[in-house]
Formats: sequence, structure tokens, C-alpha cells
Amino acid sequence: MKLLVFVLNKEEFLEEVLEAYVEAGIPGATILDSEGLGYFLAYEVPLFAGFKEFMKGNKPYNKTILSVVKDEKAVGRLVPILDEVVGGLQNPGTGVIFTLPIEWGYGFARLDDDEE
Amino acid sequence: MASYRNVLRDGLAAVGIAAKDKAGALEAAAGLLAAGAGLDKGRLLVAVAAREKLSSTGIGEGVAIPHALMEGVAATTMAVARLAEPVDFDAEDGGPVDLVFMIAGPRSDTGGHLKLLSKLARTLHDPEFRKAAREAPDGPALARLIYDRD
Repeated sequence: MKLLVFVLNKEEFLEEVLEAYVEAGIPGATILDSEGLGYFLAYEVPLFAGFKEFMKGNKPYNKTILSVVKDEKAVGRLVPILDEVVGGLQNPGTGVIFTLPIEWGYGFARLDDDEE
Repeated sequence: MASYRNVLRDGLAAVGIAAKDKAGALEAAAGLLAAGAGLDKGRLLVAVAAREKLSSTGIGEGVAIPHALMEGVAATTMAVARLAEPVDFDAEDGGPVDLVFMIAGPRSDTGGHLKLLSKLARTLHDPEFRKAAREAPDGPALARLIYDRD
């Protein structure tokens, strides 16, 4: 099993992103409100106020989507759809996605399906 | 990682600096930094004052870190001025400031500037360091204290 983490910087695409998850066969996810380090420092810590000008165009908040997948096949199905939805994750300010191994887990009602 | 040894050159730490107020403290620190790093003091003061207008760089506990990104600076450089008497600096905690760490860096090295600011803030959060900095007998001793935190 893998923990799939997606930090979505363009919150306006959340609905389409979640639809992409379902389309890719990932039926469950947890969505967290989150905030980037740079924006927080520049706007919340006075010492770093001088860096506000470098935050122009950045969104103050983002969404972090956590989901558990059986393997990376579902990720392989998901990423091309996400690329289409957010306009290419390789572009700065769109988001980042990665997986982590899960050593143990319990209570997962349903994971991603086995479709190819 | 930002290295204090790379940004704090010999002679750029001084103690017993006279200043009557925040403007005087900025001018004294700018004079120290400009002379040691070959910068234009007037331009440095303008850049630092513009940054202070956004919000005070007095981070509390008697410490201020005025800083600026500007043209005409080859590399991120720092000067440290310990004032003879604390001055009001519009600091976060409302307390007077006697330890002034002034930084100037090129606009092309915002990352280095940010790393140094963060490292310095972390160093200065340590009450033992602040106490030692206030007891250092002279500029070179103050500089050594800072180098020891690398």
C-alpha cells in the first residue's frame, strides 16, 4: 500500500481533481486545508515581510489530499488526468504529488480498483 | 546552508556603538556595513529604511535584523552593531533594541538572503547567545560568538 499525497495549489480545481481521483479508480481521500511555507513566512512573520513581493501570483492557501492506494497503478492512471485538469504539474504553482510506502494499516473500507 | 563566516567579514562586528534612536542605530549599522563591504551607505540606508516601512525588523528581546535586497552588492554581507544604549525600534515586543544585525544582499540571491535571515533568527532566539553577545568585550569576541554558531 502507498500513501498518495497531492498538494493542490490551485484550489479552484478541487472539484475536478476529486473527479479525476474517482475516474482513476481511487474512491476515497481526505482533504486538508493547508498553507505554503513561503506565503506564511512573508505574511505572518514580520521579519520576512520584505519577501511579499516574491509571493505575487502565489495563492495563500492550498489543499492537501491524502489517499491510500494499493499500488502505483492507480497513480499512473491519475497523474495524466491531473496534468490535464491543472494545466501540467511540471509548471510552478500548480501542485506536487508523491507517494510514500505504508508499512501497516487497518480500517480501509475500500481501496482503488484493479482496472488497468 | 548560510555560513556566518562567509557573510560576517573581519571588522564588521562592533560594540559600544552610540545611537540616540532607531534612525541613529540604522545609520550607525549602515556605516559599519558600508565601510566594511564597500557599499554606498546612502543607498543602503534608503533600502533598509524602505524595508522598515513594511514592518519593523525588531524581532523582540532587544534584537533587530534590518535587511535589504539591493543593486550594487556582490554578495550577501552582514554587520553587527551592539549599541552602547538600547533604543526604541518599534519592535514586536515593544522593548528597546541594543543588538542590531544588518544584512545587505544582491537581488539575485534572495534564497541566500532568506536562509541567512532564518538562521540568524534561530540563533537569536537563544537567550544564552543573546546574553553572551551582550557580554562580549569587543567586536572580534562578538564575531567569534557568531562564528561558533555555524
